[in-house]
Amino acid sequence: MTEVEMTMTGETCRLTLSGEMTIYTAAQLLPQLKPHIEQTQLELNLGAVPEIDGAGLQLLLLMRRERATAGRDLRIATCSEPVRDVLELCGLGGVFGLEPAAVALTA
Amino acid sequence: MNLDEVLHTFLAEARDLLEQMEEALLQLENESEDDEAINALFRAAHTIKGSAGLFQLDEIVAFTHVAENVLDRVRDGHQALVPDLIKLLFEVRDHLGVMIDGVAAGQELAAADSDRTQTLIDALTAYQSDRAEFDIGGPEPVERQPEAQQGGDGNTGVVSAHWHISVRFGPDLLVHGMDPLSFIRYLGTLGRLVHVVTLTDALPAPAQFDPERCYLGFELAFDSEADRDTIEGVFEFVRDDSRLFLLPPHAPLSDYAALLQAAADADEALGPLLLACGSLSEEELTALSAPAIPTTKESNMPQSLAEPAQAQTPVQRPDAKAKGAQRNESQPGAGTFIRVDAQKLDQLINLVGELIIAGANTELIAQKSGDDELAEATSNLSQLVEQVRDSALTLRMVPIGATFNRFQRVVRDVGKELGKEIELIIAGADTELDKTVVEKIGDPLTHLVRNAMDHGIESAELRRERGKPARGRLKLDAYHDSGNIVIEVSDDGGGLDRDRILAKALERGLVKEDQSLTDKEVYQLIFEPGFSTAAQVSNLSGRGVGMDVVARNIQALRGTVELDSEPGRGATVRIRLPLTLAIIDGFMVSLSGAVYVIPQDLVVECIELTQRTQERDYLNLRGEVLPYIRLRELFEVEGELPERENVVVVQYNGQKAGLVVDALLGEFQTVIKPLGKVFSRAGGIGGFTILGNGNVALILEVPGLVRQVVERAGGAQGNRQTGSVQHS
Repeated sequence: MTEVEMTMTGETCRLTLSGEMTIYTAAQLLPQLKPHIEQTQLELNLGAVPEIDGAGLQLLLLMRRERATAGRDLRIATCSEPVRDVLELCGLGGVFGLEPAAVALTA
Repeated sequence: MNLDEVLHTFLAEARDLLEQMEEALLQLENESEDDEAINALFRAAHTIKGSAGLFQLDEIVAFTHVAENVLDRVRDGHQALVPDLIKLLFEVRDHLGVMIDGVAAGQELAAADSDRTQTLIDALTAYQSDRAEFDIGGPEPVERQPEAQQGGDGNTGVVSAHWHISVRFGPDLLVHGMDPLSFIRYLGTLGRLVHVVTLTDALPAPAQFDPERCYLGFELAFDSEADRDTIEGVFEFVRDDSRLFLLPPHAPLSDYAALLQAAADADEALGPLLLACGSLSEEELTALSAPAIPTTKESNMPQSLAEPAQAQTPVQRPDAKAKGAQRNESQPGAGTFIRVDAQKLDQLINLVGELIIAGANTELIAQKSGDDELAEATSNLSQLVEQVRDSALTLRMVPIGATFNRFQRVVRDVGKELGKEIELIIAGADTELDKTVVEKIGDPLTHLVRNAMDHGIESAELRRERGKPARGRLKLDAYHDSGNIVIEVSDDGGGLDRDRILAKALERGLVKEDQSLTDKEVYQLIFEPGFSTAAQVSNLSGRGVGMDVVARNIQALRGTVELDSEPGRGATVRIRLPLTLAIIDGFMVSLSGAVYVIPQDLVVECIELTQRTQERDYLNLRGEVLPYIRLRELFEVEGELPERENVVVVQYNGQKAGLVVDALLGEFQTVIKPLGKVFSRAGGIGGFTILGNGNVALILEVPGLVRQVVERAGGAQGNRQTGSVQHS
């Protein structure tokens, strides 16, 4: 089970995920994440995500695309090494506002 | 769905493939020009490499890659399959087996094994000679590079020196336990991922989004020395479901046209992404975006027309090739087999066992109730249950052929080691027996085979002297015989030396000076612990451990082992095993109210005990002497003797014996439950079962009883004793 915890700071909604974002948890994560897509400001804390695969990545991409169509962005505030590795592998580091130092691959 | 399961599938497949490699190698050793075997070898290595990559088993990938390269050269005829290379490939195959076992055990490779990997890679590299020649494996880039450089008009080849890979994964990828990212990651090990674009076009609206469906696609610029086969191999497992374009460095512009067309068909705007990847320049893209592909209208019409067709081939052709290969791999009727977890089968058999017990209970109640309709219905039901039982048991039955075939390799290796030329003949490969038995019979069989080769079959000179062909023959045979399976290992060697066995047995104190033994009894002595007749101790066998272990292993399977030998002509070891270990047809008898079960297969007939004298232990059965044993005495059952006693005549291993019981109760399907350790020393009892009424019945261990009865009778008649332990 992957937990999703929400904290609101003014307009900014921060979702903290603890647990893996994989095919095993994707079905259970979707309904937990979906309601927050419409938040004015949305930040993800993925520091406690030990593992992410294509299914988890899709979830992030879905949220980002939905927000982008509404003119909003989706920021990953913190993320674990495995998540960073995957995002960099897929050339998505910059897309989620990760530190530029880590985006060398896509440069 | 579970990653572990997928890994298991990979391991099982890898082991199958290793077996195929071994078969192919054995084949090639006889006939080094056999194209089919070479192809099988290559395909097996290729598939192992490809799937190992998916699990990031980098060491296996690196190792197999080198082997595959050499095999590729062999396939192309650039490298002859010399005996040394075959020997090396055998070693490679064995080492792969070690690596796969390591993965199965979840262990890192030991340092010694890693060294071995390097040694073998070095040895293989020697067969790789000049790399340039080898690179022809992927002809497209080599052919096209020069063409592209001169292609000033922009329609022959693009400027980009990278591969461009465009892939849209199939929707079921995730559900099949694969992670799209692992393909990209693996690709990264073959070269440099210059630029990766993750596509989100296929993602539906959140409402339609299925989190377990794969919507991912990638455009990749990839810088690598790897050839097309290698890169294509990465996607081997998903190619059928995915849309894949592989464009080599300096690919013709028309290849990109085909890619853009396919993307346009799928409503994707790919142009900007190709620019981002650096695979197309602005000019090249503009040229392509023009209403019609302008180049086709240019003067070099035939050539240009040929180009798009060629553009298709790189993707299409290997695809077809791969499909052909798969069809070959799966061989006859692959679609009719499914892999099932052995544990699930065990569970099913257990349940069927319980069903049988419950069914027997129901039938008993029906009979008691006197309700005819109910009785008929339950009798129908029990017939069906019986059929279910039989078919459930056949599910676990596997032909012994696969086990036998493994000995091709053993015979080859041991033969080389001993310097003897020995031919293995296999018969009865279709004979089926329980999977658990098959698994446990391997070791004893290996020992018997080695023993026969080492001690049985003579050296070539001696064989010639004896007027036999120089080439020794070893035969493995299997057949069914009255509810048993018989496995024979026979050789055409010197046979057993009766006098030497006897001398040794005397020396070891296994028999006494004045004992008179039949030939069979003498031969049987070699199964006694601590017996070895080898005059010369070789490193294969002859260490004095072995035959007794073989005998013990086989007894543990409720089987027996015996030996026939003809001096100068050869010896045959015969293993007799029950077909299955779980359920038998039982024959119920009673002693003072308690029920016992005798395996039905072993019952010959039942007679009334008419000559009720206490002194004799044998009776006259139609002129034949039938030794018998009173189970009442054996099991020390108290209580009144009944008016009538019955004799159940059982036969095992060609020997008949009578078991005296109180009453005969009839047939009963019996689920054998093993006795606990506490009872392991209880003689004559092989297990227990639960009857329909819930009572426990003991199952008689007939082979042991028969031996006991015959020995006792023998002792009474001829006053002789064999070396084995006697009960009571």
